[in-house]
Amino acid sequence: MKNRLRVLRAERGWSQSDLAKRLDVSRQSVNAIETGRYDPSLPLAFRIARVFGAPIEAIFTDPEAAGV
Amino acid sequence: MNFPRVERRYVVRLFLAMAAYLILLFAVRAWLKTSPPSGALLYGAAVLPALPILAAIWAVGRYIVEEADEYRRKLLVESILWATGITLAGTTVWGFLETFAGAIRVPSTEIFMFFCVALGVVHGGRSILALR
Repeated sequence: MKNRLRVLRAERGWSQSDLAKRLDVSRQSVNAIETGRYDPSLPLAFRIARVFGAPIEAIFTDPEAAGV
Repeated sequence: MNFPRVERRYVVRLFLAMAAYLILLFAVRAWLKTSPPSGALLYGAAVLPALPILAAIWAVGRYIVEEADEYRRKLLVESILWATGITLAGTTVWGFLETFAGAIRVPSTEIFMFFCVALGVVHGGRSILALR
């Protein structure tokens, strides 16, 4: 799934480790989500949304709904 | 974060199980050589070195349960499935080589060691790749 994690993180000047610490997950998780190799669970997606202060849809894009 | 702690706990448990395994293996071997028991006691003695192996299998299970990071848990579960597949494939092929081609007989007590090595190589490699 496509996401804006890398952009949002860069805007705040956070490293992958910084974000991992804020989310209480491993850096491997942040890396895998950013590169689209892993889709987070719903609870983790909500946690990511909370950390960035944005709704889930503003961070993750539904490829099937894209262009609608 | 508790991830390294989970891994460390797994390695410590595995190490303790392997140490107990070696001690029991040599003790039972010496016992059976010097004054072999018979009947139920012989069965009991023979099974003793298997107990630490069962503990090591339990440690693998606990590793999954205690891994709090969802992505790392997914990686681990997949690695365990890979290691299981490699072990089943390897031992099946080797079994036929033993049966039909006179290959050296490997006792089934070694299968878990094979699985551990397969898991170590597979999971170690995938964990490193996951950091790229």
